[in-house]
Amino acid sequence: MTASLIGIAILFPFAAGFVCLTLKNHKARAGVVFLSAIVLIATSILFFSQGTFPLGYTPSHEWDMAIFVLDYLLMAYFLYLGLNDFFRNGIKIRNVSTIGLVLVQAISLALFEFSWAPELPITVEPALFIDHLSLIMCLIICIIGSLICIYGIKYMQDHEKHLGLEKTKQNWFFFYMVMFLGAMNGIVFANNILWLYFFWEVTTLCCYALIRHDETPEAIESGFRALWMNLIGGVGFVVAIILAFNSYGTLSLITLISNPTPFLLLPLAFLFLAALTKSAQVPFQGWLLGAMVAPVPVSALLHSSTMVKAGVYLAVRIAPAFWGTSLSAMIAVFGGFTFMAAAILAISQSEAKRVLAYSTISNLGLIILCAGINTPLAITAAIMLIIFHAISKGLLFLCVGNIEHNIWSKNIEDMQGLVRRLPLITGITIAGMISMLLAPFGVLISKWAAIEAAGASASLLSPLILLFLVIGSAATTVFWVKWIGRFLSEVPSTEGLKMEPFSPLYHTPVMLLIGGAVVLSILIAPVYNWLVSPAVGTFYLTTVSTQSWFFRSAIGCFVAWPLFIVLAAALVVPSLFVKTKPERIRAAYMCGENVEYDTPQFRSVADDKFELQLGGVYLEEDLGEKKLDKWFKVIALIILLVLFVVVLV
Amino acid sequence: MNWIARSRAKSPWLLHYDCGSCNGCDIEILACLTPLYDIERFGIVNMGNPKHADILLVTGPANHPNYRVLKNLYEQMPEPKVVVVVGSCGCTGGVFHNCPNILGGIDKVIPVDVYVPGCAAKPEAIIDGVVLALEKLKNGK
Amino acid sequence: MAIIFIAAIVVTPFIGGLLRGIDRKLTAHMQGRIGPPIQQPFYDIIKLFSKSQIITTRSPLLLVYGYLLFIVAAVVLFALKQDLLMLILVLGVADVLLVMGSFSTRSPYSQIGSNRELLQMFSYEPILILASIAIYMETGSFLISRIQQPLLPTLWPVYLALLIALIILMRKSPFDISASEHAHQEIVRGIFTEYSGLYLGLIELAHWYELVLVLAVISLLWTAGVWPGILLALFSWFIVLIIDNINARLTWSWMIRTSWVAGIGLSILNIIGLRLFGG
Repeated sequence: MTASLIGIAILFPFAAGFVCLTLKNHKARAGVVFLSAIVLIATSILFFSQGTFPLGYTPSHEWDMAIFVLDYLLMAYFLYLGLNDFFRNGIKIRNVSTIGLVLVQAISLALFEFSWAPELPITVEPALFIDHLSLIMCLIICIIGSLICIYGIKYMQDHEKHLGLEKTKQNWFFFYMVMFLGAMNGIVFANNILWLYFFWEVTTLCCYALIRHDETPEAIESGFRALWMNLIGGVGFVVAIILAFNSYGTLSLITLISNPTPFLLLPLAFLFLAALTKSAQVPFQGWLLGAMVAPVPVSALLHSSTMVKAGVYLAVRIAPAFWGTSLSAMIAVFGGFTFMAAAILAISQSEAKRVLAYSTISNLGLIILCAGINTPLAITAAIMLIIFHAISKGLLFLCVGNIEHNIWSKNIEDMQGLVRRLPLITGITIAGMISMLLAPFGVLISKWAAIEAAGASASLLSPLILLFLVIGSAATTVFWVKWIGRFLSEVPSTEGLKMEPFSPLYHTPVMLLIGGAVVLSILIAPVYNWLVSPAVGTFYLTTVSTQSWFFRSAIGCFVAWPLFIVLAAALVVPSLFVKTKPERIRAAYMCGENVEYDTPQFRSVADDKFELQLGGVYLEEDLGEKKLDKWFKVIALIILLVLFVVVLV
Repeated sequence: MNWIARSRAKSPWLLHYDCGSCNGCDIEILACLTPLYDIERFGIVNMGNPKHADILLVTGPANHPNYRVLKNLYEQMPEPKVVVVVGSCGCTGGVFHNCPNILGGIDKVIPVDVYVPGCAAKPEAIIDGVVLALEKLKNGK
Repeated sequence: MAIIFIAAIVVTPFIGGLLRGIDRKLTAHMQGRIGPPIQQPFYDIIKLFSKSQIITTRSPLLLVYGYLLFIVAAVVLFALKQDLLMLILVLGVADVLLVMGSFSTRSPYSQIGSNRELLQMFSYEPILILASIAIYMETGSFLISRIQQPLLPTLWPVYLALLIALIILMRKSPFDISASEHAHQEIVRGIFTEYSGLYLGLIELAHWYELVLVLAVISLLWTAGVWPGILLALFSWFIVLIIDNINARLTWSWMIRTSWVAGIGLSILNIIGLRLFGG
C-alpha cells in the first residue's frame, strides 16, 4: 500500500505532465489537470492516514540506473541551453555562467561516479526515507500545489487571450507545472543524496522553463538567471556529495544526520549553500525577484509549495546534524539577516508581486534562522512557518493574479479603493494578508515561537540575531499594512457593496486556501499534535505541550483560541451595531473645500475642481533598492564567507 | 441635571473658522486660550476639525468665495451643534455691508445661535457668548 | 480569575481617565494656566458618546471596535499574568486595526496620520519586544507571573529605551507625529480626523486602557511588592509629561533615528551585557 502511494506521489505527476504535453484540446487538458489534482490530494491524505512513520522504502535497482542516466541527460540539456544562447546572442553573463557551472558539475560528478565510487550507480538502503517532516511537505505540495494548478486552468486561458497568442503554449505550461509537483515529492522522500540531487535539478529545470514561458526578452533573461543561480546550488550539492562520501562511505542522508561528526560540517555547509540558493536568500534573491515576470500560477507555485520550500526543507532536514556547532549559529545569523534585509527592501516596492516576493524571501530567512537556532522550539517554529507560509503565500499570489486579471495592473497604487470595486477578492486578499501579519494566526504564532527560541538561544551571537528579528518583524508590519491601506482607501458612498461575479475556477481555490489558513490557525493545538510534534520528535525532544489547547512551551505560553474569540467578536459585534443610514454620510475632511461627498475632489485655484491624489509611503530615498541592495548583498556575502571560514577552522 | 447634559456643557469643543475677517476678532479668540483667560478651565478645546467640534465659531462676513466652505464645515459637524458668530462683520456684514462680493451676515448661509457683536469683540464677550451657546448645547438643541 | 477578569475590564478605564485628567491639569500648571478639572476626560467621553453619528465610510467603524477589543484583551492578558511577548503582539494587532481604520477613508489627513502611525509602530515595536526578551533573560520565563525580583538594577538601559517607547505610545511631543496632541495643528489630529462622536469616544477609551497597560508593563521592572512598581510607572509618566511640555514635534526621521539608535541600541547593549555576564 505505502509503496504504491509513494509511487503515485512521485511518478503520477510525471506521467500526467507528459499526457498534458500531448493533448491539444483545452478541455481534455483541463480534465487531466483536475484528475491529477484529485489523485495527488487523495494520495497525500491517504498516505497521512495509512502510513506508519518513519518508514524506509527501496524500489528495484533499475531506478538507480535510470536516475543515474537521467541525471547526465539533464545536465546535457542545461549545457545545450547555455550553448544555444551563446551561439545566438554572443557572450553574456547568463550563458557563460550556465555553461561553466554545468561543466563543473558534470565533470566533478562524472569523475566521482566513474573513478572513485566503488559501484556504479551508488545505491543506498533505503533509497527513500519518509518521516513526518517529509509527510508535511508532501501534504503541502499535493494539496496547495494542486489547487494552484486548478487555478492555472482559467488563468492561463485569460492570460493567453490577453496576450493574443495564436498558438497555445499551455500544454508545455501544464507539463512543467504538474511535473514540478512530482519532482518536489521526490525531493522530500529521497534518502539517497544522488536521488535528492536529481530531483533537485529537475525542479531547477521546471523553474527555468516556467519562468521563461512567455518568451519575452525579460522572461528569458530571468529564466537564465534562475537557472545559473540555482546551478551554483547544484555545484554545492555535488561538492557535498563527494565530501560526504569521502568521509562516510555512504550517501544515505539519514545516516549522515543521525551520526554527526566534526568532519560532516563541511559537506553540510555545502548542502546549506544549495539550500539557500534554492530559497533565494540574500545575496541570491535576484532570481526569485526576476521570476515575477512569469504568469501568476508559476509564482504561486514557486513561492508556496515548491522550489523555495525545497531549500528550507533541506535546511530543516539537515539541522539536527549541525546541532550545537558554530555552523548552526552562523546559519542563524545568515537567516536573520535575510529576514531583516528582505523585509526592509519590501517597504520601498510598489509592485504587488515584488512585495510578495520580498515577503517570501524574508519568511524563508526566518525559517532558516529557526533551523540555525536549532532548539526544539525553534524547529517547531520553522515547521509551522513552512505550513502556514505555504498556505497564505499561495493564497496571496492567486489573489493578486485574480486582481491583475480584473484591473490589468500589478501596481499597488492602482489598487486604491479596490475594496469597493472588487469586494470579494479584495476581502479575501486582506484576510490573507492579515493571516500573514497579525496574531493569533499561524504565521504569528510561529514568529512568536521563533522570537522566544532566539531569546532562549545560548549562542553568543544571539543578540545579533535578536536585532535582526525585531527590526525585520517591525518592517514586515509596515509593508503589509500600507498595502492593505491602499486597498481600503475608499470614497464615501451611499451605495451598498456589489459583489463581483463568482468565477468557480478563480474563487474556489482561493476560498479553500483562506479557509485552510483560518481553520488551521484555530486548530493550532491538534495540528501541532498530529503533524508538527512527530516531525520535530524524530530528532529532538519536544518541549511544547498543548494543554487546554494553549500553545505552551517551557518558557512561555500562547493562548490562541481566546484571541480568536476576541477576533470573532470584533467582526460580529460591530456588524450588528453599525448601521449606516445615507443621511449620516459626510465627505472626508478637506478643509471644507470638498465638492461632493461622494467624489474625491476639492476646489482650489479659481474654484476649479481638483482630483484628490493620495499615494502610499514607500520611503524610496531612505530604504530604496538603489541605496540598500548592494550593501545588503555585500554584507550577506561576508556572512556567508565567515560561515565557510568558521567551518574550515 | 442629567449626566449627558452636564457633560455636554462641560466639554464644548470649538471649531474656529475665519470667513474673511480682518483678523482682529481672531486674535481676540486666540487670546482666550492664553494663560490670562485660559478657557480650557471650562473644558473648551480649540479643534481644527468639524467632525470633532460642538461649537462653530465664525468671524468675518459671509462672502461669495467661501460661503460654500462654511456650509460644508457646518454640515460635517455632528449634532448637537451651535454656531457662534464673533464680531460685527459676522453679525451683519459690518463695514463690508453691501460690498459686491459680500452676502451679508453669517446667518445668510447657516443658522446662527449666538451673536457676539464688537469690532473687535473682547475676549470676555466671546467667552460670554460661548457660555450662552452652552445652554442651547445642553438641551441637545 | 473571574474577579481579576472583570476588575481589569472595569477598573482600568477609570484609572486611565483619571491619569488623563491629571495629565491635563499638570500640563496646564506647567504652562501657567489653571486647566480643566480632573474629571474632564469623563465629561469629554460622555459627550462624545451622546453625539449623533456621522460617518464617512463603513469600515473604520468596524475596525474601531476591533481596536478597542484587542486592547482590552491585552489588558486582560496582563491581569491574568500571561506571556509578555504575546501581549506585545496583541497590542500590535490593536494598533494595526486602528491604522487600517484610518486608511479606509480617502482623506488626506487621516492617510498621512496612518502612514505616520505605521512609522511609529516601526519605531516602538522593536523596543517593546527587546524589553520582553531582556526581562526573559533575567527571569527565565516570558510569563509575567514568573517575575519576582526587582529588575531595574540590571535592566536600567532597557528602562531608558522603554521611556522612548512610552513617549510614542502616549502620543506626546516630540513624537506625537501621527495624531498631533493639539487639535488645531497642521494635520488636525491626523489618524483620528475622520472619526467623530461615539467612535472617537471608543478610541479615547481604548487609549485609556493602552496607557494603563503600558505603564503596567513598565511597573514590571520593580515588582518587589506593589508600590515600588506603581511609583516607578508614575515617575516615568511624569517624566514623559515634562518632556512633552519642553519639546516641539519632530519629524518622523528623527523619531526613527532616536528610537532605533538610542532605544534599540540601549536594549541590545543590555542584552549583550546579560548574555556576557550572566543574568
